[in-house]
Amino acid sequence: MVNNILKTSIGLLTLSTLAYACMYGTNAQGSRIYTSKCAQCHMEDGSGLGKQIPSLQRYDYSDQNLPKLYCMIRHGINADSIGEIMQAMPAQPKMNDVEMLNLINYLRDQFSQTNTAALTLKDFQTVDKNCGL
Amino acid sequence: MNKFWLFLLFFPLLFSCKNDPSKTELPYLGNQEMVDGRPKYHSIRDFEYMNQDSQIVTNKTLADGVYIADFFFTSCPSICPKVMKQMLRLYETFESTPGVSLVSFTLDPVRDDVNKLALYAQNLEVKAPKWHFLTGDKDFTLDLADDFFVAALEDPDAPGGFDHSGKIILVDKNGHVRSFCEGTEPETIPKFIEDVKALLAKNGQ
Repeated sequence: MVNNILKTSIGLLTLSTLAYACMYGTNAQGSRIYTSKCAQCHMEDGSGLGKQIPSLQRYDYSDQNLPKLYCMIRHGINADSIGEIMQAMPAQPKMNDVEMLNLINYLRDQFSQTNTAALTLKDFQTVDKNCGL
Repeated sequence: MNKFWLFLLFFPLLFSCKNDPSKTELPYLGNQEMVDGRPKYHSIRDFEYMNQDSQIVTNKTLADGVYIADFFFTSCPSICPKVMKQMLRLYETFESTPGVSLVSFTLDPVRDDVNKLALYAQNLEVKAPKWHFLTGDKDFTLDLADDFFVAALEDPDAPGGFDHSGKIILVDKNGHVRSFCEGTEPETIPKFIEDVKALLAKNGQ
């Protein structure tokens, strides 16, 4: 009897996990962070707004550009005085590295034209976390 | 023979269901008063602003046709990009249609001077007189937003310092509000585009 209940609950758990994965993709956290922190300006499809807000569909997501991408997300971009960058991009000081990783993997998966292989935390070892600051 | 008459009887039905934009009468939005037995519709008050090319733009300048309006500011971190994305979509839709213009009022004239607006228009790759970005008196603009049924207020706690709704409003040649949509909800835009076309089919009135 107890065995049956156990079997049923394990089965249900597997099913619901699968259903969740199917609904939200494998990178649910990356997708959630993108929607809550990026999509407001860069749009859900990453297309941005003219030259005002850059499109994420044309960014260089190559491995050698990873430190630059990491630092840009982590520290944001200031608006400059001459007005070429009119709208600042906010920093994300509170995100941990797993969240950063999931977000970057989401960006690569959704918008990269060439490089879509998922990164691991190991790949962050090459990144200067202080970003030269 | 009988069948032929039956066909004639139902023949007009073929045309009755067609959605003809020139037959659609858009409602007049807002309060309506009766003055001397005639309805007086809610209208936008007179205004005078400076656009991104340092040209004066008034409600009379715009009265040559219908116009599509929204309220924004260039440093707005919240809903503006989404709303502007839809304004850009409307610009592209009506770029070569005479009698329609777009107007974006800045809520933050201190930061958004003519130079800033010119740069913003350049970044969006759009031009006046099709799309005016207007700067003027802040308090007047906050009041003017009321006429467009746009909630706008200064709020130090709001991102960027202003709180406002993302409505996009259609104003006819006589300064009456005839339709609106939510710039934050892209799926409301196609109906709005149909409304603009319906108003144009009625010569903007």
